[in-house]
Amino acid sequence: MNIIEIKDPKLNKTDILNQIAAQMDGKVVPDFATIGPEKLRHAVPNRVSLEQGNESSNHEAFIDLMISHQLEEPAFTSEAPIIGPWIVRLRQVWNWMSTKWYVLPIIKQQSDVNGQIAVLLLEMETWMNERNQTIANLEEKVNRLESIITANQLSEK
Amino acid sequence: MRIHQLVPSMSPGDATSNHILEIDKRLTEWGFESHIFAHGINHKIEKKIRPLVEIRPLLKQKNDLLIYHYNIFHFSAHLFQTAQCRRILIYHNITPAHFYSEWDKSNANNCRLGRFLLQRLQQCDLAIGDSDFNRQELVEAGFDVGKTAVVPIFLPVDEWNALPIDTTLQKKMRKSKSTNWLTVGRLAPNKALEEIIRLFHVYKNQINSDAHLYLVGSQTIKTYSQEIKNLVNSLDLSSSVTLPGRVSNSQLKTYYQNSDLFISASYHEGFCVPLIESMFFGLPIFARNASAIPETLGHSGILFNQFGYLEAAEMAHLMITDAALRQQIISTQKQRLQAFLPDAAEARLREALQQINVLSTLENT
Repeated sequence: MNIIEIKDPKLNKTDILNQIAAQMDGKVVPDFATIGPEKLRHAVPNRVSLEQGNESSNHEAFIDLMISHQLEEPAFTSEAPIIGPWIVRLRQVWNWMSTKWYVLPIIKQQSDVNGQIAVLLLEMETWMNERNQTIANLEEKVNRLESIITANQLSEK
Repeated sequence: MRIHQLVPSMSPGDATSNHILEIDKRLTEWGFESHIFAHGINHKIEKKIRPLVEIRPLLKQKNDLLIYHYNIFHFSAHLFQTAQCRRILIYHNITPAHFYSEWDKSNANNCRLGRFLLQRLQQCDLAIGDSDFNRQELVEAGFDVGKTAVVPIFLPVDEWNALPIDTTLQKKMRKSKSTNWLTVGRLAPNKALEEIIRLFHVYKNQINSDAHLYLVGSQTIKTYSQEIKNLVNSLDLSSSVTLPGRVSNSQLKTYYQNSDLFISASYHEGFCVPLIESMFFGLPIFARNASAIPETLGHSGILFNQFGYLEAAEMAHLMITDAALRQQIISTQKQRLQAFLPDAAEARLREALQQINVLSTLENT
């Protein structure tokens, strides 16, 4: 794969690349793999290898929990003809004081708790996925070691 | 007909927020009753935006239309899922989680959930991507290809033209007559800013010692931002690399107008507004051939596949010093810009609404 991509048909790609090549002679690039913070030395993670097979079967449940953690105050309705809207209005006025100063703060409190639980569960799920990955890697290593040991034992015989 | 736009948060200067305001303006001009609802509302624009809680009763109105802007995992997605009115999803893309996993667990979780949830938002009348790259992600997530469209981000070009220059910053940038490299966007791992800094190090040490790099963008991911600063110090570049953080619009315009090259090493962009800003301000673009970047650039700008630091540094130098090459790049970029100007975006929005017969509903009433 070429390092430089030139798509503009009005530019002379060959000429540009030749000019660059001529300029590069004798210049040296430092070994960046040994310079700067350790975490920045590696290449940016490969998308495919890291995005596959990471989701647990619980994921859909977490999604449901996360998006429905916010409680809702139910709306008053009435099916009664003509006086229905009056009944609704009356109940709204009647409940306004307790709802605004008592029920709504409790709803908010509960929504916050629900949200925190959802986040905590998600973090636990992430942690478990990471541990599972570690266990899988260790199992693979053990299998490899076992086959080496078996091969050694066979060759000794 | 009423159209409600719903978004997790709105703040001034943000590209998505601006896009929403521009759509609102068009919808109102076309005769719709248009409202915007958000959960997080910045106080500077709160007059135009209604709190999220007020949208709930409206979602039961079958004749209304809900447009949900999806750019992050948020519980408001539930409102979109359960709405009984007609629904359009506008997908602004979510960065794949793995870019953040080593740097910010919370962000990584949000991205992972956000991308996962996307598969569950398929039940809608139309799904729109800002780019074809985003539209294809929608199709990959299971959306019906026949119910997808592309509407580019509305750009505030009038505002850009009217913005004053920050003269103090301009004097500072042009004081030493140095060659200025610019990159714009929040400091995030998918942007691979470490690669830009290394490339700049090669450029400065091997080609042009009188050069300066400006990394403009918010530094909300503290761990990554700190390591980027550590890298700058390790390479002894602290006097020639500036990280001003998030800047005002006037300052941003000044950075664009006083730089010699725009560079992006980003591995993942759903659209990349800074590329369009560079086209607008006549700054040659040197960017990675990845995600939506080649689509946004079309035939304009120069792309790189990987660094090749010396080769890439020489290319950057040529783009800055070869006047004919530079002019040609800027000219092609200006042509490409036409596809993203407000009139073009407006036409695409019209087409998209026509796709679900929303405009004809208006004409019939």
